Amino acid sequence: MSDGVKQTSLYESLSALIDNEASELEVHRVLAESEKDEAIRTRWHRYQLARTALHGEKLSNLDIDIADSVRNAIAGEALIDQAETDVSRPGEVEVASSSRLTSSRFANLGRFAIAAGVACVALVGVQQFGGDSGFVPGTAPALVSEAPSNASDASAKPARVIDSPFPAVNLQAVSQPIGSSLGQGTAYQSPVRLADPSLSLAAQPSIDDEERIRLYLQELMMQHAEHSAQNSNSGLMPFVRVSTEFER
Amino acid sequence: MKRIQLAIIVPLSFLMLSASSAVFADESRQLVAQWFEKMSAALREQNYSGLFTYEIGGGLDTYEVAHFVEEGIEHERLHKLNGAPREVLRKGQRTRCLSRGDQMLRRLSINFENQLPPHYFFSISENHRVAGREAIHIEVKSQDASRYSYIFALDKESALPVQMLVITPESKVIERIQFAKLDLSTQAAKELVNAEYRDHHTARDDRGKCDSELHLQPAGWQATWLPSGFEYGGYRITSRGDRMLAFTDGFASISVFIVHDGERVPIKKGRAQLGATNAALSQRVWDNQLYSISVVGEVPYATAQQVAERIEKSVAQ
Repeated sequence: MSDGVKQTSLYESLSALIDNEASELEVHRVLAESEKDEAIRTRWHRYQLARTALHGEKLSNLDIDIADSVRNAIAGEALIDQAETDVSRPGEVEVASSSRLTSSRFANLGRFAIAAGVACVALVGVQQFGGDSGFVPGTAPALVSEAPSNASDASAKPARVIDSPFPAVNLQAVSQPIGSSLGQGTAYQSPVRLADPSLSLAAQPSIDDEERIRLYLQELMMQHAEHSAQNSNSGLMPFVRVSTEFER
Repeated sequence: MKRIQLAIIVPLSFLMLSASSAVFADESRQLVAQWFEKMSAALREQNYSGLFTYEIGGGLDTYEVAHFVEEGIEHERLHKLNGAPREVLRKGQRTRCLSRGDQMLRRLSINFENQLPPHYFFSISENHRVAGREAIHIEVKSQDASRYSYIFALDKESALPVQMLVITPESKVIERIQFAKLDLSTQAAKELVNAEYRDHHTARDDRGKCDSELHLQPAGWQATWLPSGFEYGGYRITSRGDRMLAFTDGFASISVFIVHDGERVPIKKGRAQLGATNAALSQRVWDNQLYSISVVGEVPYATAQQVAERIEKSVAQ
């Protein structure tokens, strides 16, 4: 495995961890790597900060611990980011800096704890798993999960791109200048996987690239929902689709 | 002699059976058409409020919805009850103004006059129950793999859809919406629609242009391939000044976004999915100009991709 691929895979694990979809193995790997690698810690922190800034709930209510080294790194960087980031809800940044997590407990946090702490809209998953195949007539429909519950199955896991609470779904908000960084109501969450990495930013997209992609997809989905609400005879269903949040 | 009799009787009874099932199929189709016509009207004209769940990818969300019509103008409110508060308010549509989708389900579409949307098989059954109310089940099965199938449960009293399942060509349910409570009282609907709200997204209202203007296809751009049965449903310039073409087959809709300055779009090629909604993003060059073409719709990805590949810019532009 080349370094680049390894790095991308690690970022995916980190993203899964933030999304509470990481396997125990992935959690340990991210923790181990984060202790060695400043860049991982920074990235982890930015993901977490973005998540926290999106939501009114305080992470500190969740009784979460984190490995000391990681905690210190986060605490230190939060102050820097607080100055750099135009977040008008300083309480939430403070919350991020005071989060305490331990590796031993992280894996057992449970999906609800994470989901409650980071409840954001999962708006669009960009994925590259196998396409829709042939028509199978006559078979009974079965309820399936588009996102595999086995988080270690990274090849099939849709990367979730996270929307802010509703104001950011507002067309005006999503139309903010491309490349704007982690301001209020916008945040990058997980790497966007593109269909053809050779043609895309997928190798190691920067936060800004991913943010731009997220905003663009969000805008498309919202505009489509408005058209669809008028044309698909399903009432406000299209708006349900774009405002849903996957609290798994 | 007996053998001859038998030889006559068997084809005769087969003929009779075929005739009766043909009659049944016609009646059944007619019944489906009537229910969908009622559904399409109810969604626009009925006052209602209720609670429903939306299930996707293992997640479950709860919503409150209200729809209220006053002097022929619709007012709608959608409120998400779990997680971060979110609301959609939509108002201003005139109930008499029919979208292309409405026209198709009410059998008013010019191309498919007096027909149900083609390319689907329909079946109907009674005696179902949703939200404590009697319901009719209608299965809408795609005849090909280019679109999804659906199961609707319609409230028997109002014809409102109280359950909807979206099913892939692989026969997997990818979305389920189901009412837990439905109230048809005008007062409740009015109160909920007018209730104080915190955040809201006001859906864009194109119904003001309820004439042929909205349905005129702009010159210059063509979808040279669409799944059969899809009709042109509208055109708009987006908030960023990009072109958007809309198509529908009555159940699903497809939006085509054409961005002239392709460099502005952060994705050269890509795929996105949210439940039943798929997006195919690509770049194309016409006259040495880079364009970004994005197709978004409640159709399988392969369909969205194929539509994107077959968008053409005509010489006239």
